[in-house]
Amino acid sequence: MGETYASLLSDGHRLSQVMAAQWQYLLNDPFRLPAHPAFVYGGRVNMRESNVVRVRRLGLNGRDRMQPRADGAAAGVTDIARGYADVTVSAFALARKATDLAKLTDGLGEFDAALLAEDFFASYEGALVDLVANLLDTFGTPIGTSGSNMSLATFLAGKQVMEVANNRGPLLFIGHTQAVTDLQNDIATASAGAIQWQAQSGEFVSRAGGAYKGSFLETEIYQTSRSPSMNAGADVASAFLGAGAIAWADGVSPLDFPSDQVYVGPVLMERNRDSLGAETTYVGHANMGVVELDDAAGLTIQSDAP
Amino acid sequence: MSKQVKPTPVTTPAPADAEPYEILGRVAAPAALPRIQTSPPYLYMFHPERWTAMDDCDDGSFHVVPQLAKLPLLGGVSRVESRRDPQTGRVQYVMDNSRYIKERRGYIVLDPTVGGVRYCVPVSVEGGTAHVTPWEHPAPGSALVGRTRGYVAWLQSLVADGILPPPAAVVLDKLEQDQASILSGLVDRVDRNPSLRGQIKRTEAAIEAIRAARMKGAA
Repeated sequence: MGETYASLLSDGHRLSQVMAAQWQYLLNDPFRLPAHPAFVYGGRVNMRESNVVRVRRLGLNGRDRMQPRADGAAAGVTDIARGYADVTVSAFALARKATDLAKLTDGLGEFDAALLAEDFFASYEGALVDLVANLLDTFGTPIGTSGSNMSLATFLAGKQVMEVANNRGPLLFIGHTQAVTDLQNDIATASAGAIQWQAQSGEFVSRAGGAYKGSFLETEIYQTSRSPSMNAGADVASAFLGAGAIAWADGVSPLDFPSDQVYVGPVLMERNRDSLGAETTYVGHANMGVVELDDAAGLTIQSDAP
Repeated sequence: MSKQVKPTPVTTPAPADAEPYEILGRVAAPAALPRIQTSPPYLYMFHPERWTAMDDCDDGSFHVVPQLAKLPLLGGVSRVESRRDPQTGRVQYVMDNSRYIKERRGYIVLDPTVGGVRYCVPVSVEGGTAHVTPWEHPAPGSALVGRTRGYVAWLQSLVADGILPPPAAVVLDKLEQDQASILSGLVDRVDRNPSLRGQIKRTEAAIEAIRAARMKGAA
């Protein structure tokens, strides 16, 4: 997190300073939604007459077993089991505004439209992850001990629950940053037996920074600091996700004024000029939604908060 | 004859000469805000299978209490829709569909004020607004969040007052099994890592609390 300023010269951002010939990004949670089978894309709501997409689940692929049939008797008919989840797509936006004075003194491209476009796209992906993170504390019956650090023992217990619930791998573990680093510490200092000598243990505990922490015990591990707190702030939520745990959908805003609008992936970026105020506004629009598709395909883990 | 020693004169300097420097001016900085993540407002949800053993502010005294989940008031999540009331200008969260899918899964969605406590409190933080419980206290300029006791007592009062049902025996069985599984994993490794003793102690205390809750339910 860091200080933020409106893009006005009079805000003091550059009213009286000489800017260094470079700038750095403020710290940010870099997690982006992985292309993992835990996430089921329901499609776009464009031209569907609704902002709700229904993602269906069917009990096929061997879910219903063949039943013994007595010779000469008719086979009983088994209905196909069905389930579904509806995803409601909502609108999201990020706006930036710069005065002419701020822009004309910009020597490093801070208000460059291409850079803002990149920013909008990253912001869209970050917002999508925030939506997913807000689901992490609602899966199944949480395990873990309140107030205790995330440990290999809890990780293995969670993996066991996922296996017992017939989840298909590879599993995905989205952990709060505190939980993932606690898990790394525990493996680094206290692992034994089969875990101790595996190369993947060393690789996992060595990873620092970034959101993707690699694969460990056939589980893809991501970290984010955006998952909710639990138990009145005593703990944080993490979650195991199996295939089909979360459904998501999106929509693309229509291009009405091509001279001032452009698509950046699914983000509609547009600019608006206020000639009286000598200000230019840039706005990125996106539309998306997420929902828990299958409660049994996920498991919430509680562990000690930072 | 003893020699007279003259005391060293003590002089009190004038205030302006007290230190060899002066401090001039002071830029009035804006008030520092807590440096915690922004977060949406929420409704608490209770599920009959979600219970946990926890202590209040790490006092070591574990109690079995409902483990509430958050239903975020955030458009796009779990079928929540948000809109602006053209009359008042206030944001409205349309929760019908969201409540439906949660209640279909066995959740009870709690009102914003339960047992006399409004449990979601907005706090201005860097970058926007965070929403925390009344028992969490974000500190200005800090990423740390202080906590005060009361959450466990509040949960216990919700059960005692019949707002939430007590835990089923099978739920407590499962809870104990999960903790026992974690405990065995910790005990197996404590000889190589003595620092696990703290976690073992907490897990044992949690198991004791679960057993006590079972006994109470059986009585």
